[in-house]
Amino acid sequence: MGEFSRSLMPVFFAPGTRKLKPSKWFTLGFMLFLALVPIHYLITDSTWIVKLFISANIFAILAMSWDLLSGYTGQENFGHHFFVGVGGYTVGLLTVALVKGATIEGVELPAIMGINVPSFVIILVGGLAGAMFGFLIGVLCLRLAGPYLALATLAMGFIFIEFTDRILPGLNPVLETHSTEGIYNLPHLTGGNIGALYYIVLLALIGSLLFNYIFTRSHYGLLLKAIREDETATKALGINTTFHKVMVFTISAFFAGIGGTFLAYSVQAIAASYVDTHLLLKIISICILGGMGTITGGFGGAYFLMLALLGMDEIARLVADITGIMEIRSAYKIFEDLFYYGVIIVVMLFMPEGIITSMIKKATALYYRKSE
Amino acid sequence: MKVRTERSASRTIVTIALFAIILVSATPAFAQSLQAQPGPVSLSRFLGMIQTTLIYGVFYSLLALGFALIFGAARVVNLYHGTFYMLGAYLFATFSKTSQFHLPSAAYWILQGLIIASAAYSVTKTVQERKVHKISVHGKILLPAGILSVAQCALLLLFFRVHLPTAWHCNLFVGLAISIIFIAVLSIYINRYIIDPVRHRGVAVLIITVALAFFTERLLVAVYGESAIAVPSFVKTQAIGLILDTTMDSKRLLMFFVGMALIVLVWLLMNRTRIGKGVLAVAQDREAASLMGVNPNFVFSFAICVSAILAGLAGVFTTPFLGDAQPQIWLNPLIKAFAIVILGGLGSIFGSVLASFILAFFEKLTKYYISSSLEEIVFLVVIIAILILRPQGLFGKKGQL
Amino acid sequence: MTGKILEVKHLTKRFGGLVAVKNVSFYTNQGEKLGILGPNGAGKTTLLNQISGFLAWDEGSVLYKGRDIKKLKPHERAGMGMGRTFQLVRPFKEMTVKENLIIPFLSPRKRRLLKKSAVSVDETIDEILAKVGLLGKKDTFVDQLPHGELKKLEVAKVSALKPDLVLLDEPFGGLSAGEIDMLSSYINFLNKEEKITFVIIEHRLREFMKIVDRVVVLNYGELIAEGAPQEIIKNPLVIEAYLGKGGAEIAAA
Repeated sequence: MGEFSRSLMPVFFAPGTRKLKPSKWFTLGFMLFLALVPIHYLITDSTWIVKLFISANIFAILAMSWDLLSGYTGQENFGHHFFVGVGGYTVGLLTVALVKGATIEGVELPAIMGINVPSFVIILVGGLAGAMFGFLIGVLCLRLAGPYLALATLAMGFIFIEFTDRILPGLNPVLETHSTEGIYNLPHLTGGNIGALYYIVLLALIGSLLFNYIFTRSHYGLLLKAIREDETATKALGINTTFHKVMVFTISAFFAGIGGTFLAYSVQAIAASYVDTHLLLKIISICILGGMGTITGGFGGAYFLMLALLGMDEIARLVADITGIMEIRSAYKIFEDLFYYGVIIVVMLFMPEGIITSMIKKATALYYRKSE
Repeated sequence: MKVRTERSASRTIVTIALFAIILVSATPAFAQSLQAQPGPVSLSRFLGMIQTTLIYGVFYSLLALGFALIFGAARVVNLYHGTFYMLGAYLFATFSKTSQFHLPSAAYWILQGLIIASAAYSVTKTVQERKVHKISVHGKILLPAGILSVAQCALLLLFFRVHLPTAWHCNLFVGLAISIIFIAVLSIYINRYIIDPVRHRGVAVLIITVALAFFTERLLVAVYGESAIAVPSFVKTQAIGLILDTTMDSKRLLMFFVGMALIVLVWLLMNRTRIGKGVLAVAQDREAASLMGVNPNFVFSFAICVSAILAGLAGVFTTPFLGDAQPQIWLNPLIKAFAIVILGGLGSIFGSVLASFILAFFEKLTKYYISSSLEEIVFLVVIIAILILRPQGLFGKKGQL
Repeated sequence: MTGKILEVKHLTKRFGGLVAVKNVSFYTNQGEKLGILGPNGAGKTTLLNQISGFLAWDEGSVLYKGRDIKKLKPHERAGMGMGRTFQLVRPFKEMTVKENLIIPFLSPRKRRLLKKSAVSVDETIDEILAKVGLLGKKDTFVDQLPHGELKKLEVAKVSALKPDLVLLDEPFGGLSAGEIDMLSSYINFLNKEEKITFVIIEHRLREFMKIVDRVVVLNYGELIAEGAPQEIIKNPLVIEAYLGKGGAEIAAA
């Protein structure tokens, strides 16, 4: 699709540019750091840091896929959890159907067809299933924009949750007697080796990051931006915006599906409550933190959120240890959620470009002002 | 001579089509009910469906009307709407049975501190204004004073676990008053400090209001816990006989009558008072209305206040029979309200009332005659179908997207 | 190609009880600059929106290059070589001037045309920017440009599409005399060198008359006059449309 723009040398601090792009060295360095994370597990034999990073990486994938559609192309999709759920449930259902060992409400189900399908096939199918639904929903929502699109997609999300929560168990004779619980005890992706799981997710993340980076820096990305800015003008310039909108829906849903499969594999279970509106809001808030419309912002936002929550937790624990008041820790547990939602509200009110972007801009403004 | 405009023509067509669809859907049910046994069972089932439709129609109307008001007047999608419904239920339950709740004393000090701080702030601000502008400030101090005194009373009631007299439902009225006042004031503050700053970006309003809604949910969980709270009712549960041997629960009947009264009140408010007409004017053309001397900001506050009160009252009267107050009950009414307003179309605030009844009809038809687990899906499917086939809603103008 | 590039036949558009465009018929010859004149509310922009595909019509037909284009969507008509500008300029605000100009290059039509030529996208864009006088501002963000340059950019974007017919909606709106001259010479350049046919809507008379070859006049959705610019301004119906009834006498006096 067109030629690749050569002129985009990313810069870290550059007054006058509209979007802050981390420099290549910074990104590479960060990637290297990520690659070395499992060392912690090797040393201490405790998995919590690796699991934390896995979770952050999965959310980064999900956030970037949402931002591509909603932030970058301007099609506000409030049903993204639908696609994630499709991916997750693909894992769940295919495992139940094809592979042994999954349980629902503690009852182990016999495999319907005892084929041993390799997991990466299931992951791919999850992504494709997501893409298929993305295509469908994209086509259905062609004429909608703004709040109407938000509502329609929100409604689609609800349909999915209703379906998986109530109707799905009723359909399958095997699942019938087990209603609101999800599918549990899915096999571990890499047979218990959490390091391998980490690297697989990291690989997917890097792939997603690269894809999004190239995609948006290319001329096609410019086209999507034009669609977001002014669809009428873009149409007048001879571009079939409908086609591209559906395209982006499909691609976004593909990555969301893949993320969904990892989500299911990372906790080895899938239930409607894992992919409900809370997930949607989490994805949206990550994108807001990192800056909506800059796809790599989703990546930064996911890590920022992880660090922030971790940091707050640590501070609470520290304060409780120092002062000896144990209640602070339990109080913090309650306030964690409140703090999280409160931060979203504050960021939306005061830093609409995302925390990182806004803070860096303020810093650069100060720096340049001081040097005058 | 009435000009047959495109809009009125399409409206007529739509109404006729709708009646046709409803008749067609209802007929098999009715026929089945007659056919089965000429006896009370099946006919009463059919009548039961009609009655439930009416009741839920009123319920949904209360929710949708408020939502339509804000959407129409301010073009703002207020995803916090459902939370007003929830807060109505919670606050009513709390303040009418204050003896029942045991809340952490830290909360008391925080809230008391807030009230004192707000009082101090209002006083100093008004005094300052008086100095600067040299105007009479009696009016300006009255409202904050009133609100703060109500808040203080509420606080004392709550934390000193006063036993309110239950004669003549005194305690319930007190609870109702406090809860409604609180919701009205809250809505105005939310409008001013949360929605206004981001009004120009539609997505931002969506996100910020839904984040606030989740925030409130977590707050309620922190204060009240995850499980449901019983919400008292003005009437005792008893089955009241209606026509043809059908019965209806008294609580539902109460909600029905209160709701109908509210709908009529709102209609009167919108069409017969100056403020109401101002709201309608702003809904149609904000700039023109402001040129005519209508203050749009006041209208926005008014609209959100009325809508919040409606939602709150819906909460007070519906939760007693719908399953008590839980921290998650804000999501479903919100979606329904949003969807009904889209279904009814923009351009007509009372189209949403009609749409509520239509939706309730299809929901209950499915529940009674097809399968009760499909109830929620019906409504969602209808919404999606409308959005795709007729995005302007049933009664809206084309191109008013 | 010679002959009639655009033919509008008996076009009618109703909005409820209001007839915005009533039985309008005219044509444009290949290579000419046709002006559409008329007071505010005459239906000029509605007409343009119908021709370019953003609005459907109730009766009549539009033939472009001899083809009935009723079923074609806006981007398809643009693909056939029909470009248009907007009365209120629509630049892509968060992009630079150059990026704005890249967009038309991403349309299928342009990509087809590019394949045949050996010149690269960057060079072509530079050429266009040079001709329109915006080469120096290639990398500035569009929201920093003054209004006159935005208007030029608008026309430049359309010309990047290498269209055969361009519909201009009030291109001179809000421009100073000097800016109008610059834009006029650019339009003339496009007309002579790139062989683009123009249909220009305006309601400001003076500058407009110098640039067009032929004029049709619209009033209340109906075509009331057609002819050369000099004849049109003397046409009593036209004068009445602008000055009201009795205007003809006033103008003569």
